[in-house]
Formats: sequence, structure tokens, C-alpha cells
Amino acid sequence: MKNHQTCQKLFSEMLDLKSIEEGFAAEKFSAILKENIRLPGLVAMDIYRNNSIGARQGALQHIYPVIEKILGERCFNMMANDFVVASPSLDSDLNNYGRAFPDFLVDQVTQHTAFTDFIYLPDLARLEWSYHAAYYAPDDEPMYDLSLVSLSPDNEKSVSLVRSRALSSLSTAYPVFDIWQSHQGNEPVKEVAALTEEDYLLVYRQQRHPEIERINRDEWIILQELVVPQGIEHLVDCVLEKGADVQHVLPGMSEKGWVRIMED
Amino acid sequence: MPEMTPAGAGIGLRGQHIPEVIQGLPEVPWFEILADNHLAEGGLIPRQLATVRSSYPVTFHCVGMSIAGVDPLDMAYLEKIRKLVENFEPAWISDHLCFTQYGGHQYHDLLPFPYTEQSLQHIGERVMKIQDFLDRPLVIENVSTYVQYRESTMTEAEFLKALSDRTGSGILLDINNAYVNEINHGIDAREFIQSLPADKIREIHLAGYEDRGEYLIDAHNNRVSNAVWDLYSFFVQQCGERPTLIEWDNNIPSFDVLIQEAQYADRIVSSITDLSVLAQEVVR
Repeated sequence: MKNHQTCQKLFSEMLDLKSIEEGFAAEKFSAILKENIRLPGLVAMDIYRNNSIGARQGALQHIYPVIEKILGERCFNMMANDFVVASPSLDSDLNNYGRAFPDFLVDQVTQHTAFTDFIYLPDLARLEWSYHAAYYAPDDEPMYDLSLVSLSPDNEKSVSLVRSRALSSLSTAYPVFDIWQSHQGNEPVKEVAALTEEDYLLVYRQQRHPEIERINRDEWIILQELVVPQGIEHLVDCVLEKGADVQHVLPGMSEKGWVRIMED
Repeated sequence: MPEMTPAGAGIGLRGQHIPEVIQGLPEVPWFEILADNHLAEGGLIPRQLATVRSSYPVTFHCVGMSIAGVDPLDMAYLEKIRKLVENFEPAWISDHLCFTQYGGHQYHDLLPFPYTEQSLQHIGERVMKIQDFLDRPLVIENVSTYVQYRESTMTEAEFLKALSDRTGSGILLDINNAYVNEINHGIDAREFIQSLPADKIREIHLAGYEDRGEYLIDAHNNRVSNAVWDLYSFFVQQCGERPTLIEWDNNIPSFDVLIQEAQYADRIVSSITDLSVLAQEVVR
């Protein structure tokens, strides 16, 4: 008699197969099922596989609507299916599934000549993931009530700077923000001009809704440094090395709530 | 937050209807919240849920506990559920008699297992742990299945009853699932309903299936079928009224359609109750 664990192991092996017709596992699995003429074992397993794959594909559609609009439903579904089959979900919360889709797109656009004109898709997908993440991010904890401007040298040593939890920043060589904007709503898609220089983008949450904004290079450098909380002195040293003007830029970022002060 | 107990026919609240519900406060006796869609700890989602909760009784329905699973319980997930429960005080929390993960892989589907004494022992222990963690009894739902295991030694109804006896958990009777299993496996739905301990049934689910000719898919993408309404009448006649829920998860229609379905469920209950009162008067 198969035990409880063995049955689940066989079941999950069937769900993880690339194809339901891959003989050996299917035979082993069919042997533990009651016969059912109306609904044979392999047909039944296909229902479960479709449900499982469909749930994850649905999550990708929800997170990457602009990628889907650009590729078209059929092409997106094929790509999403390939991603889902290669990428098991490791989290009960389906909102956390699909973070690696932009990396998967890098492989796709570099390997297939059909995607020569879509080289920007991975960066666009990163923007869409950031937008999704901003929507679901936890609220910021109440912070040390002190503005950057009023910090004394003594205070500076006892506080750290941290990014808002709903915030992410990215840089791109492609006009993905314009492309994203042109695919909102049902208006005809407008022509988007190529960039002449690197674009720096910020995704954050305002009034409980995600927003995307262009930022300058200095702001981007500071936000990249603050992926982990930093003491002010350390932050200043790091960003000065990269040529960013921290003195002028940081107070404004603090006022907008992008950067917050945390007591050590 | 007012303490409010669900009664009558409620609706499974889905994201696209939330703004309409918050704005219009429609006359719906209660809502079931799919807790897995409300795990966000910040932003709009918890605020919307707080607004809904301030006006309606709610229950929480989960799909991620993997009650029958052999992987360790996902404590991070359960902690999120516990926080939701603390914040929004649902009347009860339900999940399904199934597993949803194995070997760290989440399948996001309700997967069947053999109904044996061994699995009963294992699942009983898990349910007790979950109930201790959430500090309340669970309500556990029968599932629709597309396979049956040779080694099952008891029926799903016997298993649910035994699990409820061991753990004190309640039962959520999904009548559509019972009907899907009747068509797919030949398990008599009336017999299934009658085999369950009526006093343990806390809630009823009604949904629509997809007819694939030879078999049915529990797709929650249609109106409740006549066969399922008949079974609902049968249940009410046999066991009396229970909080009843209209579930619709795919091809979700306008909110009015869901209200119509809920009102139909209420009319069935009223007609059976009225008949019963009339019959008692005739006897007197």
C-alpha cells in the first residue's frame, strides 16, 4: 500500500512533467488510481496541470499587462507557459510569483531573432514588476520624526537612511516609461522616440496607488545605495565617490517620502 | 468593529466588485473574503477590506494551508492569515480538504489524496496545529476531484466526519463539488450530503461548473445549475438553513448577477421553511 507521502510525491511528479505523455511516471501514477472510463487518469491529470499552470499564467498576465499587449495574447501565453513550466512557484502567495520573468525575457530576446525589435522587453518587464510590487508592498513603519535639514552632527551619527518599502528604482537605455504610458487605457498606441541617454526611473506608492516618475542620475545613485539602510556619513562617502551631489538632492528626496530617517 | 454573524445567502467578494460594494453598500447579508487575495500588508487592499468589514459580516476562505500536505506547514503564510484574522475578525476561517504543495513547490490548485486511516492521523495532527496557531476551529471544505485513489479505505464524507470528530473542525459543504464528483466518479451526491454530520456543517458553497460532455470541471464560471439547486433544496429540507455562499471566480459577471443568485438561494430556503410551517399547522 502506498503511503500518504508517496501518493503526493507521484502526483507532484506528474504535475512537474514537461509533458503528460512522458511514459514512466504516468504509468506509475495511473497504477495507483481507480479506473474511470468517463475520466481516464491522464485526462484527469491534464485538468490538474492546466489548473496549476493556468493559475501561474494568470498571475503573469496580471503583473505584466503591457508585455502581453505588445506581444499579443497568443505569443504572451506561449512565453508565459514556457516560463511557468520552467519556474515552480515557491510561495503560497501567488502575488510573489513571476519576479524572474524579466530575466527569462532576457534569454528570449537574445536567443530568438523574431525578438530583434523587442530588445527593451526585459526592462519594460522590470518596470511592470516594480509597479506590481509597489501596489502590494507593506506600509512604511512610523519613522524618527526629524527632517534631514535639522539634523545636527551628533544626531547624524545615531540615524540611518532607508528607502520607502514600496519604492524601487531602475535605469534603462530604452524608453520603457514612454512605452508603458502609451499602452495605458484603450487609446491607439503612440510612436515612442528612442532615448539619447540613460533613463532613470522611480516606482513608488502615493495615496496607496503606485506611481512612476523620472528621476535624475544623482537621485538614482542614492536610491541604489539605500537598497540596504545606510548611516548618513557612509552614504555620503559612497555617493560622492560616484559623483553624485548628495547635499542638494537628499533633502528633497526626504521631503517626498522616498527616503526616510530611521533611528539606529 | 461590530461582531456580526453571517446568515442567509452571501457572496464571495472578488476584487473587481470591491469599489462598487464600498460605494453602494448593497444589501448583501455577508461576504466571504478570499484571504489569499488580501495578504498585502500595506497599500489599498487592507484599507478596502477594513471598509467592507465595517459594514458587513465576513468569513475568510483560504486556498494555501495545504491541510493534507506532507511538507511542513507554511508558517509565514499562516502568520499572514493570523494577522488578517486579528485585524478583521472574520466569523470563521475555512480551507479545503486537499494538499496544495509538495517538495517546496506550490501548485495553486486543490489536489486530492487517498482517504485512509494513515492520512486521517496525519491531517488530524496538522489541523490541530493550525487551529492552535489561529486560536479557533477551522471549517474544512469538501473538494471536487478528477481522480480517485485505489487505496482509499473510506469515503470523503466519512473522512470529513472523522476529521471533524478528532479536531473539532467544522464542515463547509460545497454542493457543486458534491455534484461534480457525482458526475465524474458516480458518487451519489444525496448520499454524500446525508453522510455528513449535519450539526458540523457551518456553511454551504454554491457555484457553477463547466460541462465538458463526459465530465464536469469545477470552474466557478457559471450560474449555479438546476441540478445543484435541487441538491441545495434537498440539503435545506434535510438539515435546515445554513449560511450559504455564491462563489464565482472565472468570467466574473456584474455584481447584480451574483445578487440574483444569492436571492434565489434565499427564496429556496423561504419556500421550504414556509412549507414546513404550513405542514406543522395542518398537523395541528
